[in-house]
Amino acid sequence: MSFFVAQQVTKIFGGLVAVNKVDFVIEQGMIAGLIGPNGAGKTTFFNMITGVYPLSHGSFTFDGQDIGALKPHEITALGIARTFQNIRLFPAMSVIDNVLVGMHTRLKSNLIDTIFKTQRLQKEEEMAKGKALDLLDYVGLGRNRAPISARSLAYGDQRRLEIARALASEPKLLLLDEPTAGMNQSETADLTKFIRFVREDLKLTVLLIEHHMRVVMGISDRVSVLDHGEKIAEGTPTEVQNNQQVIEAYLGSGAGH
Amino acid sequence: MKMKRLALAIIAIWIFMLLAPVAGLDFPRVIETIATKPQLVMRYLLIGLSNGAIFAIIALGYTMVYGIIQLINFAHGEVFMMSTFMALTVIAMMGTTNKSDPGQIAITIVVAMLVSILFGGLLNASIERVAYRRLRNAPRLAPLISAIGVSFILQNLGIIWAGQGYIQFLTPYFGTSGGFAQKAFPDLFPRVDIFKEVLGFSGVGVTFLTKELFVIAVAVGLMIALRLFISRTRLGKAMRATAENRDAAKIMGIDIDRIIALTFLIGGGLAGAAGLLNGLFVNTAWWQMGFQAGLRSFTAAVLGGIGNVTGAMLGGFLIGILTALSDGLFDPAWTRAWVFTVLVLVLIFRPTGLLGEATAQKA
Amino acid sequence: MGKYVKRGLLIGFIGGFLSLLFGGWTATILAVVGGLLTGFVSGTEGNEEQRDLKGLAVAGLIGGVIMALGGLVYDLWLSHIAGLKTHPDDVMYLSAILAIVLCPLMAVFMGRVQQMRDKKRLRIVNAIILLAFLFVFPFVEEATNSAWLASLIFAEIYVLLALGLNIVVGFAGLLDLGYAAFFAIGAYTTGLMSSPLHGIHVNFWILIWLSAVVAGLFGILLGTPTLRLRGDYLAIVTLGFGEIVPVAFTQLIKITLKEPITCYFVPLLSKLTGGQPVAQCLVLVDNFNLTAGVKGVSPLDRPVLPIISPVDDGLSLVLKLAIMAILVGLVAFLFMRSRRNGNRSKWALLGYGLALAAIIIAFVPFPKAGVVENPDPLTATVTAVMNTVQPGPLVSDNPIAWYFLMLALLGLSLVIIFRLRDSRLGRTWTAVREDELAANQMGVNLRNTKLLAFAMGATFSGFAGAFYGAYYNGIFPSVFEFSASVIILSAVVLGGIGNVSGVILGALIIMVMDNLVLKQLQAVLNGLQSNVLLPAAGNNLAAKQFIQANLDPVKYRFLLLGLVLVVTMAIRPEGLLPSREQREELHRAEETGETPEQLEAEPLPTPM
Repeated sequence: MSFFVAQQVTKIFGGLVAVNKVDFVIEQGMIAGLIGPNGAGKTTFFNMITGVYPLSHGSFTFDGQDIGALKPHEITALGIARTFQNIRLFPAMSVIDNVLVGMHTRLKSNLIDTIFKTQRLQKEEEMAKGKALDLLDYVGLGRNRAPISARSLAYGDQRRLEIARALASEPKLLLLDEPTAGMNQSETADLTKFIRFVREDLKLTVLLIEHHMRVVMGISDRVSVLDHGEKIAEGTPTEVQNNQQVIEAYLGSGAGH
Repeated sequence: MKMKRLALAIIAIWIFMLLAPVAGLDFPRVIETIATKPQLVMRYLLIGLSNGAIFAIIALGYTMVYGIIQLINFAHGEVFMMSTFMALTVIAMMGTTNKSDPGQIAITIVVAMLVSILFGGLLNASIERVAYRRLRNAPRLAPLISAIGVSFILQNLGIIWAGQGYIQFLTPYFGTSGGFAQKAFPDLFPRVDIFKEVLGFSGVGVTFLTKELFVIAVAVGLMIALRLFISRTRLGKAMRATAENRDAAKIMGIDIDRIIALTFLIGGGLAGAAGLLNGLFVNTAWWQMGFQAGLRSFTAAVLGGIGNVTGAMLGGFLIGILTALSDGLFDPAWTRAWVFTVLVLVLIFRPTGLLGEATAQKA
Repeated sequence: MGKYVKRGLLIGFIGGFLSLLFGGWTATILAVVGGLLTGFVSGTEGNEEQRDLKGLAVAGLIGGVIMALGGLVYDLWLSHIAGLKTHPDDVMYLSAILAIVLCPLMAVFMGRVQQMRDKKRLRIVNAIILLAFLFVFPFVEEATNSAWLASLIFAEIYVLLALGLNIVVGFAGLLDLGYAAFFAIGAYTTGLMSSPLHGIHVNFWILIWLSAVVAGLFGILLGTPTLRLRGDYLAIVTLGFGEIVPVAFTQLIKITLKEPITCYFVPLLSKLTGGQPVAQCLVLVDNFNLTAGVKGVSPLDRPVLPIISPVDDGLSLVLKLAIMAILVGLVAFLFMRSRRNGNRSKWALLGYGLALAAIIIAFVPFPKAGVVENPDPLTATVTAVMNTVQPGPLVSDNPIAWYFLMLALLGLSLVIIFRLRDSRLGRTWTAVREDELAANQMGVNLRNTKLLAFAMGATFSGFAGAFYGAYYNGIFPSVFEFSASVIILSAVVLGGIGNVSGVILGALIIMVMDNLVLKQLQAVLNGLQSNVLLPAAGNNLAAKQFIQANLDPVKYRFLLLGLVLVVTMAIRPEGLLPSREQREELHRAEETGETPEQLEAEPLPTPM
């Protein structure tokens, strides 16, 4: 059984069909790339997976479970985490608190624990803080930065923090929405290496929206192309790069080779 | 699961019928009244239309401001209240009473109307300039809190104003009972039943006073004028554009600050007119009247669809009828509970209101 | 040095204004407070130079002098012309001298304390100073007969209310404009179950928990329809709720509940078919007066305060305290033991059990040891101490008892609030406040989080309501109107939304202004009006009428509150005390000397 299956997924906003009967399969351990011109429906697709937009038609199956009717926080608990196209950190919260919020679904202490400051709570908080600091080191931010506020980080560091926050929920499937947007060449190379590393090290599956062609072609096992809400091509990076329809979608029809 | 929905609906209705009498809705009595005294119910409906006309104009102010800067102008009701006092002061300055000759009354009303509209507009625009403009990019809570503060300041100013009754020309109108007391607003219209005495229908059994006709006529007139302004004039189009997409409007060269100020000016002017109309209709002026009227008018705006001008008018009349029926058939003490219930129900089940759409648009 | 002069002038004028209004010992008391505050504030600035103490002395001196002058002006001049109470000469001059001496002294003392190296120790010392001050204050009040104590207790209640609202507005970012409704619900729950109105008399100590729970449930009830609403709409819905609740309490005096099917449909059906009604109308409740309406609920039962009850005399009291001290010591020891050993269950259980026993003993009146004609030295000493320090037994009519009780409740509440804030729940609230969608995507259940915020806020309000009812011995619906919600909101806004200490400060300022200052100002102005201004106006009728109509500061209450809100939002939206995040930012830069940008990111790990 495939790890993640999208079947005939459709999203209609009023009169506009944003995503049109898309079929999509991801195998476990794969890095799947999702590309397409602006407005093709990629982020909408992400938002449907994570439960922000309800499906108009179709279904999502994750690890054998139909997640179409679930709420966003339930989907995160199942093991799907995401980052955002325009970074959405919690700006006034500290770096480590951002990561700890990401860990929310894996922490168990409840209201009673909090009010009575039980042993269970204290142990869990200690463990959580330790894990969060480890994560900060892991993504290259460094645990020294834990107490500073998220909004004072440099742009590239904010992206890393977002990833750390996403990893904190111990996901099985990681959705990255244009993670290298706004980065320079060396930062991009670093992040690309890191995504590959994380796939190996944490046994993650990654779905990646990207505009940086070199990035997405470089690390994806398979690339899918959306245009005007429809999947127009899918295959290995090489196959997709040479696909005539794809070229036309990006450059407009009548363009050369 | 249609059955589940049906069962829930039945239980909800059962609970409603169990609890509603506590809030004044005595079913047998109400049904009996409707059955045996239909003219009374009609009368309530007429009163409701007059009230509703006033709510509608005030609601327009709420809906326009919300449509353009997504802020509930909590102080709007107080602009209405202050305008009532302004109108009363004008009438006092002109010394007009119920006994004055019709010519003087007519002139007084015209002058009072112009002054109230001007006053309300300028007051509302000043509030925007002083309290809201600098907070336009602040976190959401800030302008809301500022609005509440302004509301309180204006309520207090109303109390002070009402307390100046010792000034000679004000005394017959404001009295010397202090700022907290309700003041009597003169009933300047002849107590003439339009059906009976003007149109000659003697068997109607429902009274329709001249002042009620006046209120409805003026309100509808103002609403029509507003519709025309928004749809036909350049400034009106600019207002619509700014409401729909502020950044695009800016790029097209529209001066956002001025348009927003204009919106507040118009909304305030309407509240000013409502102030005079309310005074002439209800014949009281009280520092707390803005709070109540504000809540009801805002509910009307939400009911019609926030940001939608036609919706505000429709909502105003509906809420006016609701309040009149509640005051007459149920229990006046619980009217605000009924209005609040409508507000909550609309926000839960149809947040875009009756005429609203998913994207905020002007009518 | 200029900074210190400015500080001195600031506390001088604030304190001086109050001394001007009240006279007597006010100057001294405020001098001590002002001095301690100035010294404390200097500590938060992190400057270690010796020069600071001189500056503090100057600031204190300036402040003290101004305050002394204010007090003297009152007692020498103002009180006479306004026809108010004048204090005897020795009080007046002594107070002035003490003010001039104590203000700089306290400032320097506190400043010196803040220079301690060990920051952790410093916090404990500061806490002890604060507690000592809070403990001594009411006794000083009683001794100086300032009659401020009653207002202070009221202020404590408002602090609790502000803290509760801070959870909803500050932590979770939900603008609740109807907060007074929960206050009302808590007060009425207590009132209706401990008064002759319904003949139910539940023990106060059970009732406060019950009121809190009931209020909390209503919090969830109110919160539910607001879950999907954005800020403005949420505010309006809560406003409506806050408006309805006092109306309901006023109107619920003739409740009749008729079962709908048997009372409406059956008769209707039978009328239409012309037959006889099949079933009898089932009247569940008939004309029941729940809340006594506008008349209010009064009197309430007077609670018996713990530890001290009327029956205890000196000896049995000492015995009781001793047993409790031993128990508390044992409990503390057991808890520390359990923490160290890690095997918590046995010891902790024992500890909890003993704590429970201590509580029960606290409430049980010990039998009198018999009237002793010539009491032994121990009883005599204890009784003598009790009598000097405490003019009368600590029963529930005594405001000092209430003051401490409320203080204890505030302390407990603060502990819980800090725990809430610094926990997973607190983080969740902050995340929801900052970016609801992102929080949801991170796995936060929005509905539960928001409802918890409402419930927690309402619970504290319920506590406050219960205390309020019991202390004031009466509950009237007019107290809980919309303006009450706005006052509590102003306290939170002024102090700093989200900041616990700020909110406490804000509540104290608003309460002092609203309850004490405004009333005294009214008295002063009234006196001035009758004795000075009106006679001066002579035959100018217009001037006279103008003065009489407009010179009452109580009339400007709403204006002042509104101004607080508008001005705070305009010039300092973060409130008087900036929030933790902002302060931590600044502190961190100080401690390490680095700016965030200077810290370099380490290279990302790469696969081997």
